[in-house]
Amino acid sequence: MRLIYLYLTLIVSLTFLSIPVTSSALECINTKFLFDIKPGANQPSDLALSPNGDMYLVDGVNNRIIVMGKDGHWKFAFGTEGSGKGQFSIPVGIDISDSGKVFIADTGNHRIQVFDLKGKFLYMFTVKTGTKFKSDPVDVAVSKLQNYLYVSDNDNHKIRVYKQNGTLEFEWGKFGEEYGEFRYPGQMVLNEYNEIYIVDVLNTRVQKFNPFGEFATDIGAWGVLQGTLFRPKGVAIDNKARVFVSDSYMGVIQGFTDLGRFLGVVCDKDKKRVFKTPVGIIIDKDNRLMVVEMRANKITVLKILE
Amino acid sequence: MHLNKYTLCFLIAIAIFIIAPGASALEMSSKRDCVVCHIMWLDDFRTDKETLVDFQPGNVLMKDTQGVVSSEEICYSCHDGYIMDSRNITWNFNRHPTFVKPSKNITVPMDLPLSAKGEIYCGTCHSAHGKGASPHGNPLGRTSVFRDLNIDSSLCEKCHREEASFKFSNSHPVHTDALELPDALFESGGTKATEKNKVICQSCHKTHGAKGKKILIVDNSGSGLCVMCHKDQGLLIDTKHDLRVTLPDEKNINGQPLSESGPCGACHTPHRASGKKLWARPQKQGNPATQLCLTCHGDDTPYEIKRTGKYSHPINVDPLSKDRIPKDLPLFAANGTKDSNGKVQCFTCHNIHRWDPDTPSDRGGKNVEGDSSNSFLRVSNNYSSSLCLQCHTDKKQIVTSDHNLEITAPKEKNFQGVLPSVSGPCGVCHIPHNARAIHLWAKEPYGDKDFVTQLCTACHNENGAAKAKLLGKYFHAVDVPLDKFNISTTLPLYDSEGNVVPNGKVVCITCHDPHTWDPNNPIKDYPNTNIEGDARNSFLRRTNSPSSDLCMACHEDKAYVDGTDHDLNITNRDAKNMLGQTVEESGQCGACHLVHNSPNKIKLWAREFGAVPKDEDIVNALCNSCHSKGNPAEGKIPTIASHPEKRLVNNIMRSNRKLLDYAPIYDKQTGKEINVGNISCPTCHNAHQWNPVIKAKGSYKNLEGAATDSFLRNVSYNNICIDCHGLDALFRYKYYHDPEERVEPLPSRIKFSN
Repeated sequence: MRLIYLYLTLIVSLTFLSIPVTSSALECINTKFLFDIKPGANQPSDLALSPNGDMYLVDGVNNRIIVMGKDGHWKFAFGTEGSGKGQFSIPVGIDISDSGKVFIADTGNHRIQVFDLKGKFLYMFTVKTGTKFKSDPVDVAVSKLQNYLYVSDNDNHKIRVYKQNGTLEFEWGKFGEEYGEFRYPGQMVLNEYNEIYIVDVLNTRVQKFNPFGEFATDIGAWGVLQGTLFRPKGVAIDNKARVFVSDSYMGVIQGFTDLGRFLGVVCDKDKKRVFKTPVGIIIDKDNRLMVVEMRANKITVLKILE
Repeated sequence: MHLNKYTLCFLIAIAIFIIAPGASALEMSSKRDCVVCHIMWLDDFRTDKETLVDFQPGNVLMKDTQGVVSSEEICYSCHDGYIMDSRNITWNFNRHPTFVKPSKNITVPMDLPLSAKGEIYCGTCHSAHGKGASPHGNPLGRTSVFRDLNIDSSLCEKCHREEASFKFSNSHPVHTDALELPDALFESGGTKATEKNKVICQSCHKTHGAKGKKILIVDNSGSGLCVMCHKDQGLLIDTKHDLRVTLPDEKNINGQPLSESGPCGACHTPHRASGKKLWARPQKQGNPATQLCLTCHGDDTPYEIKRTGKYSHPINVDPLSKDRIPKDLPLFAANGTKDSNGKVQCFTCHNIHRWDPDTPSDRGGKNVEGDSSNSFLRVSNNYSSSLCLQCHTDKKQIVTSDHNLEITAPKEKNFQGVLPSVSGPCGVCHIPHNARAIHLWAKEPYGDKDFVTQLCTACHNENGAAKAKLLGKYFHAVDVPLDKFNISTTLPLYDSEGNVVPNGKVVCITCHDPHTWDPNNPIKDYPNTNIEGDARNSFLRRTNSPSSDLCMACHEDKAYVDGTDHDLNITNRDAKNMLGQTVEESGQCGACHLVHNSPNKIKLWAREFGAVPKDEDIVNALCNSCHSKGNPAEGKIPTIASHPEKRLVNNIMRSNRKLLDYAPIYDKQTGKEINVGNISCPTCHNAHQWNPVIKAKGSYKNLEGAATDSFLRNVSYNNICIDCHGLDALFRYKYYHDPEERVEPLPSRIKFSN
């Protein structure tokens, strides 16, 4: 009989032990909601800011770029479906140079198109792979250093670096999980030193490289805990050199130091702020965090308070 | 405390129940690549730290249930453009319903799982581990991480079996290559099958990114998808058969308004139709092909539009004959499909998808009244009535005849007020629907005679279009039964309603076929003006010259004139009747008789009467027309040709035409047969038969007669002379026309009073 009781006690104890018990020490980077922008986009992916602060939103499913003022008011749009000049095939990424050139990763057309700030087509060049596989450019990042233009070739797991006129300079990366390797590189951002941060989507991390592609560090790790990533998509740097990473599945944005130490989750009054499929993010000079919520078809504009 | 074995088992079971989820989670694989999708397998959920997403225990490992792994959010987290870009395909436009229970018409097989709620979810069709999983797809149906192969939509058909069973009556056919599938179909999103032109589910449907309702590849509210393949049927759009134009509030059997069904969908539904032809309206019983039309045009419908009326062209009937099967018009089998051995149906004449056969771009319109050039006819029917004449080939000659009123009476309208130039030659007198009377009559009948005569006299009256072609004062009897005269014929006889019956009456169309000018020789170069006919044409059923075959079809006993001396073809071809016709033009009979417009009541005589002495029988004047000086038979004038006038004869026993001793006697003035009177020429002569004992045609030679032939009515020993003259009659009979041989009768035999 005693054995039976002992056995039952053991079972009950194990049962309680097996139930997850969570602690609630949420690290927060508090923000303040400013406003939403709903420009009529269909699953928008990325956002860039012009030198004067205008927002350029990639409305890729509609094959157009929507241009809005700093406060989100509609200005104009450009682009139609197609493969001709000024036409797009499901573009994904965007960046704008200080000189006012708008670079679009025209993904489905396997090319980069360049426009002026008014949406006038300037020139374009094809992103070639040198193999039988076509390129899959999903984002561009404009560097001040040597007029470099970084292109993330998502399906080919490479970063291809061009002069802004379309001349290929160098490239790096291959499929893998090691440093300098990628599994579906996506959005990119440059810091003030022209170091580049690249979202490595399926490796659930952001890799940091020097301007010439040499690995520096990585940010984030695999998981669903604070400071870890499950589907990182967007990356942005604020004026304190903090690196913000959006996670489209978990619906959160997390902040890290430029060396990868977790700082906190973007919060609103100390409570985790949940976004609907956050992808492209950007932070302007006023420390406003703009989040493209893909499935909500909107941009959420927040003020980073800390 | 005592625990029995049952209590112990219960406690153990409770413990296992409580412990089970945790134990299961512990056994989960944590391999990173699995967790890309199977997020709930992450070890992070089994720590004491707060996770950024909540743990959802779910039945993630249980078969036939849905877990987070196949939630839409997990799929989207890769297919958002940053690994694969399926935004446009999957999350734009329409897609296969998910998170709904399958309809009662669907049977989901066991190998395609439903969620715990019995609903369809992504994982019902998709699995990274399924037989059909292949990242880049291949022609063998491995695409998009399918749970099973999808060769020619085979995955679709696993559930949609009814649609896939190729039941033409209720579903659009699949796995057929009857039509050429256009490039536009595939450019619009249709999926090519493994064989060219093979129709599969995905020819029209897209499970993701469908731009139309019902996951059609494009919006079909205007039937744009249907007409990609069915181009010809697309000509229906904007016509009266586009119900958006005529019945905008209509719904099909599925309850779809026209804005949803589109113009094609008003009458056809690709799945679960009510019957043949994918019919989307209530299906009536009976002949299927026709019932489709009658669902709107029937007398028992509420629509009251374009009904066919009491008198309408017959349907569901065989073609007129095997050699009159139309070339350009289809026949239909009982099941409503085209069949060259089938029957005439509405669709035989009508192409309900095209308003104007000659100008397809002409769609008519709601308020446009149709005519024989459009009205959804398969072939334009104006000008030459070429639609009607596809079957009614025996009526073709009407186009090049005086009965083509477009030529002879272009202003003559039918009872609907339509001119011949619009109605076509047939439509002047016949209309296929809502006719005035039988024979699809399209004119107001005229007069009070028999029905057929009323039809003819609709034009052939004093004020009618054919007022120049009337019958005259004396004409051949009509509306009379032949059995009264003991006559039989091969010509058609008619009852009072115009139907051909064996014991009917003689009417105009007994002798005339109003559709055929010349029964033997169709006109090749019709002058497009009214032409004068004769016995060889004139819409006669049979040619009546040189042999009067038409007359002889009834008057058999008169047919023996053929080839005798009384056949002017033999004896005087240049002789002319009162109309100036030679025997070639008038025919044998016409040389002496006029069927219409005879000035003479007696025998409708066609020649000027010959001179006869005062008080002589008028019937002798008929004979004298020829047998007199200056006339065709002036070589055959008897020196004496009359019996003494005062010697009246009684033929009461010899007045039966059927008997051999028939010897008619005629009234002097009227020429009617009487029983007491004088002997005249036809008392002894039968002008139509050369030899009294040989009922046969002549020898086609001009013969010199004798006392045994010479058109004598009877042989000498049985003639009427005997009645008075006894045996002496034999002698008198022979020398009747010879005054020198005549002798007085024996006084003892007959006593004449003076």
